[in-house]
Amino acid sequence: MSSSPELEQHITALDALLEQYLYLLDEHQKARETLHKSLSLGFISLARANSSAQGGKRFGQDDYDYRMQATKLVQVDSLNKDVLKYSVLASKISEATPDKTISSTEAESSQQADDKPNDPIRWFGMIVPNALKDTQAQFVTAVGESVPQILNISTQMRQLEIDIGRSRKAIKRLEKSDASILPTI
Amino acid sequence: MAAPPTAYKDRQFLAVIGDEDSVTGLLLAGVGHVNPPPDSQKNFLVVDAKTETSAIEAAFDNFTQHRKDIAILLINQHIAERIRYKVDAYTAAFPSLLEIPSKDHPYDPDKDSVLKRVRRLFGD
Repeated sequence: MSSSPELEQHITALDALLEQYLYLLDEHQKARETLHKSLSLGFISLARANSSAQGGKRFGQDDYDYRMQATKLVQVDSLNKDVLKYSVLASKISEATPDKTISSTEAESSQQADDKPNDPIRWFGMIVPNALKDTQAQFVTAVGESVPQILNISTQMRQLEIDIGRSRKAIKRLEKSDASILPTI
Repeated sequence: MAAPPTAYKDRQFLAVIGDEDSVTGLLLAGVGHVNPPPDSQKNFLVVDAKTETSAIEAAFDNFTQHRKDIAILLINQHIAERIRYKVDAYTAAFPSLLEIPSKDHPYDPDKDSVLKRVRRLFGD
C-alpha cells in the first residue's frame, strides 16, 4: 500500500524517537547497575566496619549527630522548556574543606579530624575503620553520580514518551485519512 | 512542559526512607539534614521491623507533600512495597522519587517505575 509523503515523514520521525528512547533505556539500565554496585559495595564495607568494631559496636543511628547539616545539596536546572537537569553538589561548607577522607587509603588515622568539621564520619569517633571510609566513598559516588544520572535519564525518557505518543496519534490520524481516500480511487 | 522554576528553586535536599544501613550510608555521604529548633525536622526515617506502616506513610506524605525543600526522595524498594499504593499513586514532578535496593533485599526490576513505563509504551 502506498502512503502519503506526510505519513512517511511521521513514520521516519517516530522511528528516530524510538531509537533515541531505546538508547536512553540502555543508559538507564547501565546507570542502575552502577548505582546498585556502589550501594552493594557500600553495604559490604559497612558490614566489615561493624564486624571489626570493638565491643560489638554498630555504626548506625545511635551515633547520628542530630545537629547535622547537609553537605550534599541538589541543584535543579532547566535545560530547556521540557527537560530538567538534576545535579548533586557539595555544599559551600564542604567545598571549603577538601574531601581527603574518601581518597585516604592509609591506616586508621585521626590526623584529618579537624579538616572536615562537618564530615558525618566524625559522629562515629575520631578513629574509624577504613571500611567505614570505604562505605562513605561508595555512597558518595551513588548519591553524587548515579542518582542524578538515573533521574536525568528518566526525565528525558518521560519527555520522549509524550513525543512518541503524539507521533503515534498523528500517524493513526493520517492512516485513517489515507484509508478514507483509497476506496474512492 | 517542565515545571516552572518556582516549583523547584527552594528544593535542595535529598530525603531518605530506608533501613538503618541504607540511611547510615546515605548520611555518611552527607545528605542528612536536621532543621534548626524548634522545628528540628529530619530529612530521613530509619525503618525497622517494628516501624508501623502508618509512620512510613506519614514520612512519605511529609517529604512529598508538606515539605517544599526536598528535591529527591530515596526509598528502599522493600519499604516502598509496604506503601505501594501510595508510591504508585504519586505522580508529582517534585520531589523526584527513586527506589533503591537495600542490603537484605535485592532490587526487583519488575517494580521499577521506568521499566513499567517502558512496558506501557510498547503495549505489554
